[in-house]
Amino acid sequence: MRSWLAARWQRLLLLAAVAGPGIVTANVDNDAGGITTYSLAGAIYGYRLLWTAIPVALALYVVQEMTSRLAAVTGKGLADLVREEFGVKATVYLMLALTVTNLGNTMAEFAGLATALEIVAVPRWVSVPLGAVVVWWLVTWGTYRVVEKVFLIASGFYVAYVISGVLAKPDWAAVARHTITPTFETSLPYVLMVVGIVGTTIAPWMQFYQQAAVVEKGITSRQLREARIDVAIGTVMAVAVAWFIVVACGATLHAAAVPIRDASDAAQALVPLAGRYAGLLFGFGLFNASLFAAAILPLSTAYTVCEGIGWERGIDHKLREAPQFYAIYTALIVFGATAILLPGMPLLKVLYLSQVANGVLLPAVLVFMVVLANRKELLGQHVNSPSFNVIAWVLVVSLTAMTLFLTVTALLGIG
Amino acid sequence: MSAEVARPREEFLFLSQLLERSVLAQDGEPVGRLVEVGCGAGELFPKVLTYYVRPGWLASVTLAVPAPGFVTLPDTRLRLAVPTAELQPLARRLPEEILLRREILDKQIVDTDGARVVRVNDVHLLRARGNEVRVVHVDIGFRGIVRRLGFMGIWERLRRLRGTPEDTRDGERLLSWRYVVPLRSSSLRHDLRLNVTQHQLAQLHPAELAEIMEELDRFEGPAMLEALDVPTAALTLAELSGEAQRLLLEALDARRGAALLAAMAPDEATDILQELPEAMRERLMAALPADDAATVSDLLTHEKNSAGSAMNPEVFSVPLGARISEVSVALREGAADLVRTYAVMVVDNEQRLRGVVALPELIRASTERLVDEAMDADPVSVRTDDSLEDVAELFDRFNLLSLPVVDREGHLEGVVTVDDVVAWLREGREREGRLT
Repeated sequence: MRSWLAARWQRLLLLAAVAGPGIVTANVDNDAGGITTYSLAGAIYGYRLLWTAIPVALALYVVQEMTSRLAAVTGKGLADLVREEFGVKATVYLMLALTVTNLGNTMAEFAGLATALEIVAVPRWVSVPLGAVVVWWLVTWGTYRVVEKVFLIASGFYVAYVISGVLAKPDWAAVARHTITPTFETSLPYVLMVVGIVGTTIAPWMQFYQQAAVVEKGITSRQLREARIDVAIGTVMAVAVAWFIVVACGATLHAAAVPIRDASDAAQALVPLAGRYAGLLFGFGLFNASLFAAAILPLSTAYTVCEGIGWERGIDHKLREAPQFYAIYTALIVFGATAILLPGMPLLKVLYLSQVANGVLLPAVLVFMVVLANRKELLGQHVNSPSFNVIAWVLVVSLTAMTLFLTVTALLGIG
Repeated sequence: MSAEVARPREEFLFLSQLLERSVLAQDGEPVGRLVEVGCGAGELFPKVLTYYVRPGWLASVTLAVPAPGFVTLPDTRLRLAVPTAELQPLARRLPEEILLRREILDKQIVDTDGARVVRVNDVHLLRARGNEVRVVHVDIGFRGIVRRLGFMGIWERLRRLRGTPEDTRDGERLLSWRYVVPLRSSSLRHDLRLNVTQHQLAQLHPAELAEIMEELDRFEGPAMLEALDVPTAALTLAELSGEAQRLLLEALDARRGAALLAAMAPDEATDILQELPEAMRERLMAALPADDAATVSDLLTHEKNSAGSAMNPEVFSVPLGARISEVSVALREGAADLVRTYAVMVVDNEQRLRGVVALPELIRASTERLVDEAMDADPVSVRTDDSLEDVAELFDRFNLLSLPVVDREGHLEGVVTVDDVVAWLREGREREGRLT
């Protein structure tokens, strides 16, 4: 009995040591773009998109697990593996696409920051430049590790959606029915929304970020079990939050037929919990999510690109030693923030469409990952199981099909 | 009349210009395409030994074409110099052969000239007379990437627009093969052939090796450490960050790990052991030679961040009444493992600290005098349980290079040297941590 307890305890400790990358990634995952996309989904379609939760959770787990496994077994970053296994051409084009998409995501984070602070009447020409400076300073002057904990704790804000979702007294029978029975519409906005939901939940940049985090943590193939549990917990957290945001928005905004004109309208979903302080609560959550992701995203992008091309990288290098790294990092922040300040920039559109862009790039990243995860000479006995391959390929094919549908309908002007 | 075109006697070419070229038989029939080039490993600028040809896109066999292989190089179409019938399906590659595409191109290598890890964008080859091809450089510049993307034309046009002189080649960085140490990476291919190039690594300072090591992955790092001789490996390990030390020691077997720890100064070994998880520490301690284990476990009893935990217990000390000449001789003979002896400790016959002679004093003093006259009879010293913060302050205030550590009764226990203090200070600053 004692030894059984001891063994349990040891297992728990081991899990605590390995835990992190999956859970952190899941929380960064619910960034400004994520909150906006889920809110829009609930506000516009009510509960009709809840069915996406289960397949998206399955896909998220499969993708994140592949990333962790690739990292734990090879000890290399994703860009590194793409470069070594597919050569320079594939790498350069993938990095270009990733940089463009991530610039969109960075813009979304600053848009989220602007929205959050406009709730407390701080104009964007103050909040955005200030946010950019804070992010740049946080990361380059190295108190980030401490701040990361603050961000993570503040992510507890998402519980607000859970409570609010319950307090709003949704029609649980309808919620349950829509969660388990898929319905599909072939209209441009609907497909756009599905691609956005997938893209924001399984964002391409997160795969690069998570793989780097697992490598940095020194997790090896002996700890795959614990790493899987970490990924599973992260997946459940991320998707549960998304699901409750949709439910909360469906029960409030959609039920009252309130159109979302800008992101702060989405605060209505928190009224059942916070009453007239809903706006403040929403603003706080959005602020935290935006700043958290804005701190990680440009850095992760610069790191990934430099890893693939072979430039010196990492903030422990001096500016002189790693000029490309700092150039990419700074450029993403500067352009991301400046774009938001352009007059008439529609914040809501930026927040939403950047997530659709993620969904469009995702299949490309996935193809590389699946091929890598099937290479015996890389992973040995840890190659993908057939069921993983099926889920991954289904995701690739369906996303590609939806992207094609979007392109065709948009070009023909239907929808 | 043959249509032989006059060719320059020697010509440079890039690996990327050869790969994927179609290969023709002597009669002009297509045979396949070139997929891999293998070169020797031992020489300064190794000869290309084998070309590998894949007959079709889906073919599972690869044909090996021994050098010189082709009638002309480089050419858009490579015409075989031997009859197709003589080509052997690849059974196994030569044991000491480096596969340039599989192991060098797009991979990370150690540049021993710049003491860093770089990524290879292309391999620069030299064709000498008789179609003998040698590997001379690796291309680590941006120009290599532009060339491989097929944008050389645009790149050159842009350059001309900017008015760059014709003969400059921006973005071109070629690294001589003599400085290249290939890293065979990834879990299942960790048969690093570093032994071939070990002497190149041995020319680097342990601090530089440590810097390289920090950039290597979980498989390359241990492999490189294995390839170094024990004293160099021990010095390198001591230079690394705590996190990197843990990962490396985890990857090495306990015997090798213990051998490295035994080769270090005891205080450095203790520092490393202190940071390790308990199970690992015990395994390594068990593998240490008995006397080293005793010294280390002694040091481990000291509080973390105390003078006792940072000191080196192996001290160069002399008894009261010794002659300067005797001290000099003893120093000269025992100096090898006392690298960081900045001062001579003077003790009485109960090992109590009585004075300190700094090395400059020792050199200046006339050889016939006694240490008692040359020594500082009231030296600054600390107790084993004093904090390193106080120690650092003393180093700063008295501009010290070393500082004796004594117990409650004044017995000499060890010496803290300036490098210990600097290491501790930097650790404190890095402990706050950064993202990457």
